[in-house]
Amino acid sequence: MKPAGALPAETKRRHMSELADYREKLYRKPFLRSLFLELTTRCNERCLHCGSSCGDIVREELSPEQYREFLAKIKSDFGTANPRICLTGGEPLMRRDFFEIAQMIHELGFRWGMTSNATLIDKAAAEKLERFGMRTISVSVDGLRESHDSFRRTPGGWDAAMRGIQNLIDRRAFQDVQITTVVHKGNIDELEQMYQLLLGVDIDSWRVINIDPIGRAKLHPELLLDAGDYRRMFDFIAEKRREGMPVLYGCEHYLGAGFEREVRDWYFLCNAGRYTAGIRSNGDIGACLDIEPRPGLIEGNILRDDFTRIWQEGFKPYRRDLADSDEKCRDCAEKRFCAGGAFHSFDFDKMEQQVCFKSVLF
Amino acid sequence: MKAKRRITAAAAAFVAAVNFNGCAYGPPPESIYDNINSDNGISVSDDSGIETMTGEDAIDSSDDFDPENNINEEVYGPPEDFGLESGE
Repeated sequence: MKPAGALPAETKRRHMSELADYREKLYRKPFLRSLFLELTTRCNERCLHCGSSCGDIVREELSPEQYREFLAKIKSDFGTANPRICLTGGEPLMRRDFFEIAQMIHELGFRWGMTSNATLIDKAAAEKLERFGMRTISVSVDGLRESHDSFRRTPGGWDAAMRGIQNLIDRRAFQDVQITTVVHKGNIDELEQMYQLLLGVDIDSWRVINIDPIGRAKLHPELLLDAGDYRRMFDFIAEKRREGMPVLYGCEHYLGAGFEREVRDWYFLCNAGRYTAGIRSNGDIGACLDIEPRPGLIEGNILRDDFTRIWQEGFKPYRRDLADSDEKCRDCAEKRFCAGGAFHSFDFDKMEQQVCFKSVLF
Repeated sequence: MKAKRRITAAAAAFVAAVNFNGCAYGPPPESIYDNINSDNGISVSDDSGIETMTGEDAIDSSDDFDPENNINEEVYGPPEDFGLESGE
C-alpha cells in the first residue's frame, strides 16, 4: 500500500501524533486562515453532487455594501495577512456585482481566491480577475466531455469550462490555476484519459477528490465509490505524484499511515471551525460551507452578530473531536489521528461518520 | 499540466534569509525570484529558481514536521497560495 519513496509509517505516526497535540491547542486557540464567502447559491449548472444543492435552494444575498462593512471589521480585528478570502457559491460569477465585490476585497488588502465552473470566464473576465488581484482559482472539470456535461447536467459545459481555463492560463498572472475533479462511479474509468488530456493543459495542479454523500449526492447513492474504487483512486494519485506531477487529493478524510502525506502534502486535520469559517449568502455564520447548515451548526449571522466574538467564543461543536460522539470510534486505534473524521461528512442525526476508510485503506 | 515544482536549496536559503514563506510544493512567490540571479552569489537551477522533479524525487522524504505549518487544501475551495502575505 505504501508508495515507493514514501516516508516510513513510524515517521508519519510521529508526525501525526505531534499534529494531534497541536489540534488540542488549536481547539483552545483557533487560527482563522480561510474565510469562505458563499456569494450566491445561484448556479448555471445543476451538478448531481453539489454539496450546496445549488439551484434547488436559493438564499438571500448580501449586498456589496454589507460585505464591505463586514470585511472592514475582519481587517480591523484579524488583519489582512490572514484570513485569505475564498469566494464560492453557487457560481460566484452569476452575481452581476461580482467584480465590485472582488475589487473591494482587493482594495482592502486581502489575499483572495475563488472556485468556479469557469463557464463565464471570457477574456474580459479573466483580465478583471487579474486586475482585482485574484491569486488562485479552482475550476471543476468532472470527467471527459460527455460525462462532465451529463454529471453537471449542462450541455456544452465542458467546452465552456475548458475555454474559461485557457483564458485564465493566457493571463499568466495567477499563482495557481487548478482543476478539481470529483470522482464517482460514472467517471472513475476516465482518470487516466483525463490525465493524458491535462498533460497538454498548462494548469498548476489537479485536485482529485471522491464524491461524498452530502448535498444533492445524497439523492444519488449509485454514484458513490466502493472500496475497490477508493483504492484505485488513491493509487492513481500516488502514482502520478511519484512521476512528479502536481496531482493531489483534497483535505477530506483520514487515509491511514499508508496514504497520508503520499496523495497530498499534509496530514489530515479537518479545518472546519479551527482554521476555516464560512459565511452563507444570507450572512449565516458557519464553518466549512460543505457542512449542512442545520440548527446547532449555524453560529449566528453577520448582519446581527459580532463574527470575531463568535469565532473566539463560539464554534463549540468544532473545538472538540468528533470521535468523542461516535460510538464506532470508541475503540479505534486510529482515532487520535483521525479525530472522528471530517465534519462535512458527519451524520449529525445518527451521530456517526459516513465516510471512514478503516478496512478500506488501512 | 506543469511538473511538480520545488524551491531549490539555494533559493530556500535565500527565502529564509529574507523571511519569505516559501513552500516545497506550492507555487513560489514570484517576488522571491525577482531577487535571485547569478550575480548575488546564490546559484539556482534555472531562471525561475525552481527545479522540476521526477520519479522518486517527487516524494518529500523530509523527516521534519511543523504541525503549525500543516498546510491544507479545502474540499472545494481554491488552492492555497504561498505568496507573500500582505501586511497590515
